[in-house]
Amino acid sequence: MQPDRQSVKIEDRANIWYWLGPLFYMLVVGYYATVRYMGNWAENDSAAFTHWIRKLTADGQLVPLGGGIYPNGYAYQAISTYVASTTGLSPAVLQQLMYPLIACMVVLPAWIFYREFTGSQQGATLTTILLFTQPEFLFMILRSSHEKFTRTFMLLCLFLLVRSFTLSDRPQLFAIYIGLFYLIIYAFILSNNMLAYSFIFAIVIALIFNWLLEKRVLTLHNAYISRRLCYVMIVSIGFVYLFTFYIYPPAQHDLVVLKDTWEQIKALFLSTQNSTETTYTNAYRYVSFSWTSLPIYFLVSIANWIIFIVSFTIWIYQGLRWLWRGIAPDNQSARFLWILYTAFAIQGTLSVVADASGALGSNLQHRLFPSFSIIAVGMVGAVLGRWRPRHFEKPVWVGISVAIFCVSILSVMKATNEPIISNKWIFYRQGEMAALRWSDSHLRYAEVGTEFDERLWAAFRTEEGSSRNQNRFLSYRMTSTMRDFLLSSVTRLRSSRVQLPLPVPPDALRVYDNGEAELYHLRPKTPFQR
Amino acid sequence: MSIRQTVSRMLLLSLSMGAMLLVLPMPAFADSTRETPITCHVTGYHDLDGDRTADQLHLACDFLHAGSFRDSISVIDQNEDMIPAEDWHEAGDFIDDVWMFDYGNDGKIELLIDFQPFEDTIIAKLYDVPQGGDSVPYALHGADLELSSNALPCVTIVTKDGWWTHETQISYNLDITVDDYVFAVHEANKIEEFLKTDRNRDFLLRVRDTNGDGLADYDWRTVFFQTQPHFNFVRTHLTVNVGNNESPISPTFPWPYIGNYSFGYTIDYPYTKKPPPIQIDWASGQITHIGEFVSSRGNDQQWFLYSYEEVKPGQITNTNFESPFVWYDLAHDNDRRPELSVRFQHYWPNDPVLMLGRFPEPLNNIRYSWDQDNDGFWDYKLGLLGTYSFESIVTVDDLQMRMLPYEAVPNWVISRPWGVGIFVAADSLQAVGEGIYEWDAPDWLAEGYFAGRDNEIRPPANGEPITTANTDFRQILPGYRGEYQIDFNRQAYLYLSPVDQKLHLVGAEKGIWNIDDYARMYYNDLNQDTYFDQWRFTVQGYTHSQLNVAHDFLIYSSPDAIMLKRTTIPPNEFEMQPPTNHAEWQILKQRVPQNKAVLQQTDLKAMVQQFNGPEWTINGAQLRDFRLTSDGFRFILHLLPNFAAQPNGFFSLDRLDTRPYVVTYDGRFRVALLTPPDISIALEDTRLTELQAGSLQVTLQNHGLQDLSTATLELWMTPPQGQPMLGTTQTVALLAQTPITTSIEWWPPTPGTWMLTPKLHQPDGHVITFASTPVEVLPTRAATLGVIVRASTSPVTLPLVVLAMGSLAGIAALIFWQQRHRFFKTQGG
Repeated sequence: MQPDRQSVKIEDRANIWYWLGPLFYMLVVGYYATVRYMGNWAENDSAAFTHWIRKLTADGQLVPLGGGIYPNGYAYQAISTYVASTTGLSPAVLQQLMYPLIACMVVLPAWIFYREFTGSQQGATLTTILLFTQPEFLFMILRSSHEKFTRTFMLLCLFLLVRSFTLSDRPQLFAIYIGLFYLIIYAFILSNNMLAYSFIFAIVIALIFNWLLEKRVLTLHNAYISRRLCYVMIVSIGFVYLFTFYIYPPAQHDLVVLKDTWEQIKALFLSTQNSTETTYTNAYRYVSFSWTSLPIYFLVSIANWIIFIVSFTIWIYQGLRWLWRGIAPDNQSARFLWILYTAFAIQGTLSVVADASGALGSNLQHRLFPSFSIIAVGMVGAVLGRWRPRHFEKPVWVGISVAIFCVSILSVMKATNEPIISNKWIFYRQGEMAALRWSDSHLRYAEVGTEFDERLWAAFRTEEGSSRNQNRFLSYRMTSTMRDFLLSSVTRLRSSRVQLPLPVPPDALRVYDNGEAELYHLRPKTPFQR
Repeated sequence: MSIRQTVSRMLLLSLSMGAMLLVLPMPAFADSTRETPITCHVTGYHDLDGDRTADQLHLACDFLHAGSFRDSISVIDQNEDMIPAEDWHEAGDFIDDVWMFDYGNDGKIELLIDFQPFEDTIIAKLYDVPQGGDSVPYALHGADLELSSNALPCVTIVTKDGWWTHETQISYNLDITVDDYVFAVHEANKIEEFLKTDRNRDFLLRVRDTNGDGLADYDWRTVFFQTQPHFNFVRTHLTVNVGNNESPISPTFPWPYIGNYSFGYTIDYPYTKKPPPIQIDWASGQITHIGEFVSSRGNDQQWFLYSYEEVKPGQITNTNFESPFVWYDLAHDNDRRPELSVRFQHYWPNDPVLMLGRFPEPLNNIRYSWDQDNDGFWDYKLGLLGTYSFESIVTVDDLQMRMLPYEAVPNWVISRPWGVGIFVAADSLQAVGEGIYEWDAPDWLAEGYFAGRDNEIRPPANGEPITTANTDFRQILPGYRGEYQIDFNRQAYLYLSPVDQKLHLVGAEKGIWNIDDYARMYYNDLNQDTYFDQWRFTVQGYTHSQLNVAHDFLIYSSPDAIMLKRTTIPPNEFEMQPPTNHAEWQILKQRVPQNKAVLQQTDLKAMVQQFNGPEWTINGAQLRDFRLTSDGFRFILHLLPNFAAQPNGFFSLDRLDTRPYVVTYDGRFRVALLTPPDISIALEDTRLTELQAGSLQVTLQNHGLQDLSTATLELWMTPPQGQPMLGTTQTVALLAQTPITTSIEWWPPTPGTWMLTPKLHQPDGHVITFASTPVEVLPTRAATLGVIVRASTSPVTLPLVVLAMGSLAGIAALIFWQQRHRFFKTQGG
């Protein structure tokens, strides 16, 4: 089949505002994420990556000695080490202040990718804005982890793949795109091999689905796509294999620790990796703990639901037309988009089925939903770009614009865990950090309870790194080994919000107080307690 | 093989066959008590390379003393120095020959030893049958030995002396490298999966005779891992004989270090001759063990070290775990049976093998066992927990270890106060082993309560079995008597009780003697004066008799009689510390009764009757709930219908009937009719705050005369609107007429006026519900929008936050609107 070059309609007149607008939007979102907490924010994954960056910087090796290795890839740490070394910024400053701003880098690959599907710069712009109002996607790229690079590479891969379908009659350009594709997918693997593998698995599903379509729908001439996808799959799997077993042996970690074959398969194909992220196995618990109420949760997640429902409706509609009535989507890109949507949807469904945690478990939300969002948004954007209401056109578009205004606010609030509505607070105060520093300098080998979750120890890990005196800052737990507790005004507020009691008994000894945070030591009850 | 070679061999064989059928015993130094030397005779000499000189000596042997010469040894000359002789010792040597051992004479070599001189040393490379094979893979090219490429020596031995045996002396200056799974250290079976023949050494052994007296002085072994095991394993094994009394090897094979399987890794009994340490299983062709050259246990003047931390030459190592384990000849009888063994389990601050490295102090867990009557069995043991460190450096050749020196250990232990004190006596059995294992301070205690992690002693609840090494102090193996004090914090002293004539631990809180699983004796120190004052003898779990010593009285009771004797007895007949040397051991031996019958004494009545004093017996009476009071004691007297008492008793039984009475002694006896528990409760008025821990002071008093020794206090909380909920429970002891105040922690979940209702569950199931008391709970600071915004940002940045939020939303809406507008224009809409 010859590539359908005419199907891709791109305006000749370049207008930088088409892509500069979304870029500026994301820059403001990044600025908001930074300024909201004055840079005093931390979360588990970002803290872990700060630690890994420090280790890599200190050791000067991709696989630092003595642990401190992110097992799924080294690209993010290596890039961050380079940036930190050349700019003189500390890893903490880089992570907390700079990377939210750098999240706007994802805009350009997203825009050029959507331009391929929508066939227009305007459509690409609309779709890109839609993507960046997806709270799950926004959360992923705003925080300071490999995700912003991983998603950038993923979008670039998709763009290069789709574009290469149209270039088979231009061998030189085609070869360049092919080369670029494999270069980018290798970078993708270096960034996170498990996500890359799940992406390749989605390609495999797309390949299988395309092959089935070829068999079933005689009017379809997608053999070229099948061949391309087949090559992509083989070469990419080869890359993953080389990376995992030869180039970066720590990448085998997740496969080694998952003794069970089924767990390994899940990890490989569905990206249910053994990550640092907190995994909530109970969806209701996650929602009920993380948000002030279920309606609030649905409200801040409304962009997800809208895109999910609309894209699914479009997919059903197009699928029925295509498979039932033989009316294929307009062009090759649109057909490929439909196939990709199917592949990611199947992958997501398998993930949900595989993990008994349920539809809102972290796997879907934190891992596959952002990937799915990229495709789902493309599906919606491609249709929205051509849709024109027959009546009340202006009021409809005013309404849509107002809705976008509101949804963008809600999505940003969700992505930044706005404490007004979220119970999962990620901000901290410098008074709390001062108490943590004091504790670390005056205690040795102690387990210190800091909060109901990782809020404060993630903050300490981000700003200070490891404990200098082998202390362990942990979430509150009433274990026999935890004899020191940090209590702050923010923790008291949080206690009031989440209705969790403060763990400090009335006879505990207050050994430190800076007006904003206190440290309590349990009163010795036996001759052997200190 | 050429015709010439064949002819030469035939000639040599025929020459040798007739004349050399000599049965040759092993060297004169072989007189082992366990292993007798094997016998061999020469069956021939062979010229392998056709140079008309003998290259091979062939011996027919009987490896396993089966009575037939069905095994063979073949010696291949490698240096053209083999001279056929009637005495094969003159033909073969252990310098540059190759010795091949063929069990069953089936042509398959089970062991091959390749001797090679190197500078001033001799090297012996020992090859056994590789995995999956049935013979050492080798080939002879003429007289030249060729080993296949996959044949690796599993054991390589270097004698630093340059000789293996010299007249009757055996070299004990050996460096031994092991590259295989060989039982060369204690519990080597645990690491079998990590040991293989792969050109990487698995064990390195160094044996030395430092004073050249022909006896091994120390044996140092190190374990090496190519892949780190996921569990802790002792890296360094070091045994040092300090008495120059290590037993020599009694050879069984021509080369003195190899032998049949005999003692394994250690010999735990006294012996004068030691079988060869390198032990071979001929059936499988495997070197199975390299036993100790210096005995860690079967002797009485040595110490050993099992350390997780590897000891390396030229540097000071903080050794841990069994560091050291020392043995002494307290009796000075040099009988190789130790009278004192001290197991010193030591960990350094934040030692990675203890509590994941999270215990910031050193930890010592001591087992101090001694044989007081020198009968070869352990009699007593102290179990001690402490947190002592030390700076002394012990040097053995080029090894330096931070640990206690051998000579210092007993005195060091006995002169210090210890946190936990345990005493065990083998009263009715003969204890053997490394000491008395029973009631070693258990890990759960060391790492829990003693480490300050638990507020109370908390034995493993479920799942973890209670074993000898992991006791919960509620049972002990038959024959043993155990006593303990968890909050010991004193030096270990023993005293001889005038009551039972046994040695007890000064300061012990409780004790148990499991006589035979059927009968037990329980000990108690009720007045906490560090001496036992209660003996309770049980049979099949039921109290048979009880004896209390209190305020110049001995009170004996059985199910049908009570006997009181007024007498003053000293708390002990003598006190002294456990022996640390021969003199102290002798003194204690003289002072402790040697009469076994006394030690088996369980008749409490007889114990009372050994003392003089006014005595009063009430027959047909029972005693229960004996306890001490602030100035005396009390018990409940139950007179049976047919009771009878001697006249002129300590108190009057007139007008008493079969109802229960409380007998109290506070200088004089008083008798009162027992009244049931009558509990009152008072809750101190207090104000609490929502979600914060508050303390509720509850005062309870039992106005009745009957003790309520265990009751469960429940506090039910009723919120302003809602149903009562159980707030907290606590176990309390409500002794008669003794008020107690207990503090109850409570985290009120919501503000308002709560009603607190105490309930008391009595052991008989009866529940007393007390009147409710209101408690005011103040609200905590609410997390309102304004408060949260102020907490999460500053007034300076707040406008920027709002501006950024508005901007991003505005940009999104504007782009959407504008792009849509442009799109329509482009599309011609």
